[in-house]
Amino acid sequence: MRSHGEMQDTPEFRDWLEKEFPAGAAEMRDEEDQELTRRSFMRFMGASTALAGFGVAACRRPEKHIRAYSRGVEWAIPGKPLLYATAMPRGGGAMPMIVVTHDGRPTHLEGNPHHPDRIRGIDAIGSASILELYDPDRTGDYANKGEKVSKEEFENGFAAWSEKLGAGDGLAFLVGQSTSPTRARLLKELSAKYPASKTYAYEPLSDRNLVAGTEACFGKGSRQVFNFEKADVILSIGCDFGGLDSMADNANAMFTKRRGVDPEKNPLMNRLYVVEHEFTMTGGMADHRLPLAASKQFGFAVLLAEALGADTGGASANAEELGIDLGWVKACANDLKEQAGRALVLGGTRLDPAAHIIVAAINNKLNSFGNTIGITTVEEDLAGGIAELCSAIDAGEVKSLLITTLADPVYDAPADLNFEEKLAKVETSIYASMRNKAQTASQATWYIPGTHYLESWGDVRTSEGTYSIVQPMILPLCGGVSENELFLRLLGEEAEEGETTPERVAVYKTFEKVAAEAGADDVPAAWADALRDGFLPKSEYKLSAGNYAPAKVTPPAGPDGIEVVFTPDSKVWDGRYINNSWLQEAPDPISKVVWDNAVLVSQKTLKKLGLKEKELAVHDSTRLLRVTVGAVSRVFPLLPAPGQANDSVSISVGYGQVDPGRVGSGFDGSGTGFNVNPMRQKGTEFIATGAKLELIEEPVELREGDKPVDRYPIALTQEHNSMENRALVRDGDYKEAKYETTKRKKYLAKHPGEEPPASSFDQRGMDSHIPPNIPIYRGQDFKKLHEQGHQQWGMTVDLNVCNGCNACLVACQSENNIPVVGKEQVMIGREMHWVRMDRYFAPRHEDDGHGHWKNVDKDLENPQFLPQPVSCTHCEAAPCETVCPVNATVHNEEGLNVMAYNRCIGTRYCANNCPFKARRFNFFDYNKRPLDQLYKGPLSDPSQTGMRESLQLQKNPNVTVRMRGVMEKCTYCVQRITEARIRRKQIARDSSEGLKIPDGGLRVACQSACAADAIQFGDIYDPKSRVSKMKADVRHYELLKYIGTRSRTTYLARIKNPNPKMPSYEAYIGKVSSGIH
Amino acid sequence: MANHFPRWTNTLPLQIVAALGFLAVGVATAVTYYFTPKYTRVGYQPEQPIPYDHQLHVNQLGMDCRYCHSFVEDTGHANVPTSQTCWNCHQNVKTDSPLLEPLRRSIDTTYEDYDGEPIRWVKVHATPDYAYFNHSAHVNRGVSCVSCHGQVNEMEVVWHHESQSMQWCLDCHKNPEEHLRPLDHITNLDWKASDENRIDFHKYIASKTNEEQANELVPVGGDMATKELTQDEIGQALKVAWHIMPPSSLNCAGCHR
Repeated sequence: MRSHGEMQDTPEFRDWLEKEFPAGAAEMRDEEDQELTRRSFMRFMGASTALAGFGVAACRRPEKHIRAYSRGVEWAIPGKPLLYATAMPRGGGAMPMIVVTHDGRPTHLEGNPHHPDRIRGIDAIGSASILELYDPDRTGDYANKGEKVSKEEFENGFAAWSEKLGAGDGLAFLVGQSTSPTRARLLKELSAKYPASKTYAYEPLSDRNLVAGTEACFGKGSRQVFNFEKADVILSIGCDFGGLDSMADNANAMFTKRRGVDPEKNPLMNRLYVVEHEFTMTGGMADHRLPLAASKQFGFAVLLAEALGADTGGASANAEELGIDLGWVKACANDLKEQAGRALVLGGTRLDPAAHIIVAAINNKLNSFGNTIGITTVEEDLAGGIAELCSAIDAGEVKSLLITTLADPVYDAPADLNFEEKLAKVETSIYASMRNKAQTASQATWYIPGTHYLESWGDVRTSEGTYSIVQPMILPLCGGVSENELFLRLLGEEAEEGETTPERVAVYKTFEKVAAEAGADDVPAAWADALRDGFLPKSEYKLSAGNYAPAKVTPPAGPDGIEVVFTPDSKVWDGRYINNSWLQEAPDPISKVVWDNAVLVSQKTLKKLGLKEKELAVHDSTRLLRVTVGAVSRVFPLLPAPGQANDSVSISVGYGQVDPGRVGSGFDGSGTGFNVNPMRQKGTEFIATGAKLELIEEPVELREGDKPVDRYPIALTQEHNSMENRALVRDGDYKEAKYETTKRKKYLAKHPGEEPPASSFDQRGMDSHIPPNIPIYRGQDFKKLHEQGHQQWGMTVDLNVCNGCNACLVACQSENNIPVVGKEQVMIGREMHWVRMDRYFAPRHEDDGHGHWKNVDKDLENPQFLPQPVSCTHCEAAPCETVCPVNATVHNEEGLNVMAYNRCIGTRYCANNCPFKARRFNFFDYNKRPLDQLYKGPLSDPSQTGMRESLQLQKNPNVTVRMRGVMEKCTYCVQRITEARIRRKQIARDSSEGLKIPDGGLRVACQSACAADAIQFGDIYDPKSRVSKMKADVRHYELLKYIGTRSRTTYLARIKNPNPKMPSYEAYIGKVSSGIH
Repeated sequence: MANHFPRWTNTLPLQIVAALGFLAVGVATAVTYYFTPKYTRVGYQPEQPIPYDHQLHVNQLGMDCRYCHSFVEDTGHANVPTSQTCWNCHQNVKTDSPLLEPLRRSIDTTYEDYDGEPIRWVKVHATPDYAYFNHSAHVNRGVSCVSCHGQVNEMEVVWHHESQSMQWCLDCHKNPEEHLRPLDHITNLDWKASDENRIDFHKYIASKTNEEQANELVPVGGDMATKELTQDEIGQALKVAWHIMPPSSLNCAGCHR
């Protein structure tokens, strides 16, 4: 089971599947559409041939130059990357990372494997943030009321303004969420200098509700720090901790650490219960999942508290009214109670503070505080959020407003606050941020271009409190002023001699204090170490069990008809990444939408609204839905969403911005996605109830000035490259995994060194009854080659810990210079990602009494979710190689299926013959041509042609940038293998060490991005390597093994740990693949 | 009917065919010779902004290649020296030479035309962008500079000595023994196999492999003890001793990625 389309099995879908490339991918488009017709092509060819005669003189060797530095640069070795450790500030925490720089330009970001918080990897947004640095739409221009002004003009205005500030009467700061100690210190100093000033904080997607709940129970300034590693049972109430709700920076790493199935190493695999309104990445990992509208989740928390005997603060809930199965709640409560002290209950950040108070009461009852949750206190002196700021403006208390948040309040503040109007009331408003295209930038009196975090000094704490220095990798590309620098200027600090800003000195000043607290004796040495390692050891928060005191609960408004939930977007987050093409094209982990948002509605609700059965399968266009909340009514493209609660629809925020830049406006200016912010009001920023849904029958104007339409073209990567029903993702339950593991261990103890019999996971689907296929093409004798000294590379992907988060996909894009292709090209199946993130939905099946599983969830109300990253599997008997007419793809001695781009003539035979559909073809010069002018070829606007200069800076110099007409695919990061091998040669020169790359001495890009450590890469003939240990696991299986291509990349089955006492559903959990024959 | 065409025209078609045939052979020969790197590259000798004389610096002054090309053992690029490197000596030597004006412009802050800009050296050896050649992988494994660049120590103005075509690369990758030499002679461009002492070399090979293998690769018994070493012997022995396995012609990813 893969998608609605497949489930419907419509003729269109069959047709779609049978085509090698999805409709149009391999065909010319309509002649009408075609700017360059066949005839004009001939004309051009004729002209260029004629011109070639004159060109002979140009055949001479072009003179190239070598320009070495005049003065050597410390550490710089031409051709060698320099690595630095830094951290990306992220709301309530930080993403520690290693920056790869080539000749002074950052090219790639990786997780910091040595970080004490064990955050391990880097997520998709973290990886892609490097592209923000090189955004060609960044200008560095100062602006006054949206009009560009020179820096001098601004300086004069700023000086005049800051002189008038006096004691700060009428001065307000609007800052973003940050854990930076330096910023906290500077804000404190500012309020000392301007005692009458006030500071407000604003983030459109903040955890203020959680903070409010925590502070109600533990006192002002308290924060909860979650420890997922210690939790045996986790219940998430609407909390996407493994995905877009950042509860802890290491949530994924620590949660997945407890998903191990070897009973000796991990005697108790953790268990996850998730209650949520839509499918999230966390919900996909759940052992038991309950779809429940977000407005009912408070009621669920109350019911659970009642079942556990925890304090409900006087709130009550009626299970029947809410439609909640009390049996589910009770069984879950019992499980939590049994593991008291090792249980963890989480509430989603969008839930009302009242829900967080109840969750805290539950956690208190379960003895979680001091065990799975630690309490810390932070200093924070805020006058409130954006609502309080707006009332202050209304009261005429704000004359000067300095906005330094990365949010765009004119665009994303609750609509009823009408921030645009409020901003106009302020005498002098200054917006200092990197987002020069934000609406606030053009509305504020002054706009100051900001800097990227890779361009400025700063510091930050992770969610566990470990201190990191944010160090600049490069001078600001377009000039600009960072938040800290701006504050320092207001404080009158000057840059020291030889430095461009006073930031470093300011950070050092903070560091002295933090280092003393962390017990460092020698501060300069600790500073140097922290710069090198990326963290200050022992600087984490001091955690305690806290003093829990029950708080009064004011129940939030209950459910009322259909609710609309405004969710974070996996691609653009709250809208700040809208001009980031990697993120825009990274398919949403659940819906697989790219370049857009849509309203997600359950299949049952859609049918009720009158959507026809066959319209549930969305290929390239979808119907429209009018969503009305209160007086606001907006039209969105709809997407049927499996696992969505029936009385809940969700729309992600951040899209539909006005002129957000070239990428954000879809290259041709038409725009990407749709704006939900007009529907978000104060109090209903996240959940709005009493909504009305209406299918659009008559054409409507979707975006202002567009032609009225009744359908919307939407790009999904979902239907492309389908592999059909072949037990591709395999699963099982903990019982089965334990049984198989013990059995194999016994066998190996009895017959050491022998090949153990295949496990039950290895014999699913076709592999259970088809005899082994022996290929005619034998390939090389890899065992012998290994003995000769050629290491044999291979990879495993552990699906048990993979939640489909796209981190590997974006990291691969960054490492391997993979272009984006734009929405239109994705719609015809031409996306270029080397890692394809597949995901499958498996509806609930029941035994019909004759040993056959029968689908009992035709509407996909609560299916299981199985993600699977697929890239080139490097088959030992590779079908692509035998059909290449020019030997452009061949096997090397190390078992890699290599591509010689300069040899490829673009027949695409190899892609035809690839059973995994892992090959990608450059139908156009995606790197060179503007994406809205691809079809114009050489006629495209010459001023737009060629790779943008700033984007050239990001490219990895060790990987070829591919041109039109060339096939490409995963290379196992052959550039890293080669580098590692050459490094061994250098080492071997003066030592007795061998030439072999030691296990772990080489990490490929996707592997080092994975926070869950799902990807292992290494020498598969070395029995001690981690990858061969994974390959010896009982859960190990090979994709499409029966066709006999002998993949080098193989998978490990996903294991669920269901609770046998749960009232429903356990029969099918972890049994998705066992029913496939 | 009268003859409209004179008699000689009878053989004209044949003549045309023959002429075309010659032309085709001529063109093919010309293309295969003149359009190959062997012709287009070898001998390329561009004028440099400073007429740096390798012969003078290396042969007469005895400087090692790695004084200027300092990172050749550590990285893929054999770097061209920074102006600072030149300045180490030339702030004292030949300070008034007009030939060194570009250097002074780049590094000498007291010079009136000082601008700090790097010197624009003209590239002589250029690998195409899709081929990733790595110097350190070669010089650390017994391939001398001379194998690819010729006797630069004797060149007053550097010129392209070898074709450096893919075929040429592969010739050596197939038979690396023709170019291997002891590591301490990598930058000794005048080194000959016969300079090597057989007994010492035998000992070295034995230390890297074992006595038996060393006896086989570099025999020292009987008359052999005084016999001069040949390149073939040295190459074969080092190939075995160092496990030399250059990316073969099958492994495109060795150079293309």
